[in-house]
Amino acid sequence: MMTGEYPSIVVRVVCALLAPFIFIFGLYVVAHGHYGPGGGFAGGVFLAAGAILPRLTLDEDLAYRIFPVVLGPLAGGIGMLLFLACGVLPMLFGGAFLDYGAVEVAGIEPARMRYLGILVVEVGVGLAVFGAMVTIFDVLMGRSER
Amino acid sequence: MTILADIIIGFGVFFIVVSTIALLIMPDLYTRAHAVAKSETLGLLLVFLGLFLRPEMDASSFGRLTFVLIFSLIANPTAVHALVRAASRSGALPWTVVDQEIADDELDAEDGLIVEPEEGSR
Amino acid sequence: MSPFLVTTLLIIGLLIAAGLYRVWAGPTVFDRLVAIALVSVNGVIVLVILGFVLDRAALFLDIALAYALLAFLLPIALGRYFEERDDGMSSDGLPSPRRAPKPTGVIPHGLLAERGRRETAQRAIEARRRHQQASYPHGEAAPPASLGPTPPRPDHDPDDHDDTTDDPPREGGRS
Repeated sequence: MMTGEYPSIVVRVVCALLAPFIFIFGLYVVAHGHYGPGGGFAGGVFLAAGAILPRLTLDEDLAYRIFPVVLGPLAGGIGMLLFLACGVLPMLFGGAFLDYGAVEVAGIEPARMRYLGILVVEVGVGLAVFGAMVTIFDVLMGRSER
Repeated sequence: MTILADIIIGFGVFFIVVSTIALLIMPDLYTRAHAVAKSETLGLLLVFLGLFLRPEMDASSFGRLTFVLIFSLIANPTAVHALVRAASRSGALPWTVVDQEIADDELDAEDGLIVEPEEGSR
Repeated sequence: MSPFLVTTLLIIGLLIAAGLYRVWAGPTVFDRLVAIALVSVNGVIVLVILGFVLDRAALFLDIALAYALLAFLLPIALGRYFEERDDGMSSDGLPSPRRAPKPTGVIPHGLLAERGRRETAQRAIEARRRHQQASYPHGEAAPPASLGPTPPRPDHDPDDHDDTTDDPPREGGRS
């Protein structure tokens, strides 16, 4: 099996050390997607890498306690719902799908609204990609039935 | 300052060139991995140290370059260690075993201890 | 944009191409993976220097960091995968040496081959001879073994060293 404790202590220690930083970098990429490289998809991949690296290298109980198996489908579903809600919401105000400028909230001008809408959609895409990657890994490892 | 930075970057490029040549001409996995894990990391360290002294360096790229440097210094030898460990467990033998055959045949011939697995043990 | 950094960029770009030769030619999977590790480190350096050359250092350093993170994940996962597969060493057509008799203890080499270590060496030699006869039964000269894997004898328990049965010539190999 690919999961479980990696037999080399060097790899175990380094991966336990680096996995949180990879996760934080994923959050940075998701949040920074407007002006920097990346965005929701790449950030979601890094979040998933931060979750999969403990499963590859650490003890199984510990790794699945940090990121439980149920977190994959849960994050994927929430991300997709967030994306869908964010896309449908402008249609209630008469705009097109994902047309955030049409949403009228008192005190927020359309450009600012567009900015916030892109941010929320990025977060939704990131969550969906994170959930999908972790779920694919768990299904491949045969851990998905729980 | 720029001259010093260029000298340091030049040394770093020298080490990177050496490790790539070693990757191409070394005979077995362990020697190649040695070149990749150590010499290449030293080259990366020197190149980045030189870049710290360049005039193009500013505050926003300082932190990022530091993070890239520390991450690469930790991650690159670890990755090569994981690979070589897996290869060793999979049965990769060092290159010296091949030469050892000839050397030990000569030693055996000197001692009169001829090992003939073609007729004896097989 | 300084000409020195551009020259450095070109040199390291050529080195990436040179490293890709080992990815293409490496006799085993692990040679290819080690070469990929070197190519990805060179790629990180190229991205960083490119950022300084184009005066967009912050942007390119983000990309370089992302690339370094992914390049760190690849050898960890693939090394583990090919260690647990049985045919990780067999990309050159030779069988996996996993079940082969491994030489135990210190492998003596060169001038250090003392009499006391003779036994270990002989075990390696016999395994090697058996391999050569199984792989090249028609008396061809064996190709220079760049990586000396000791291949298995197909039908035997690896720990059984002194059986007298004959190995059939291995099929499908490099012959």
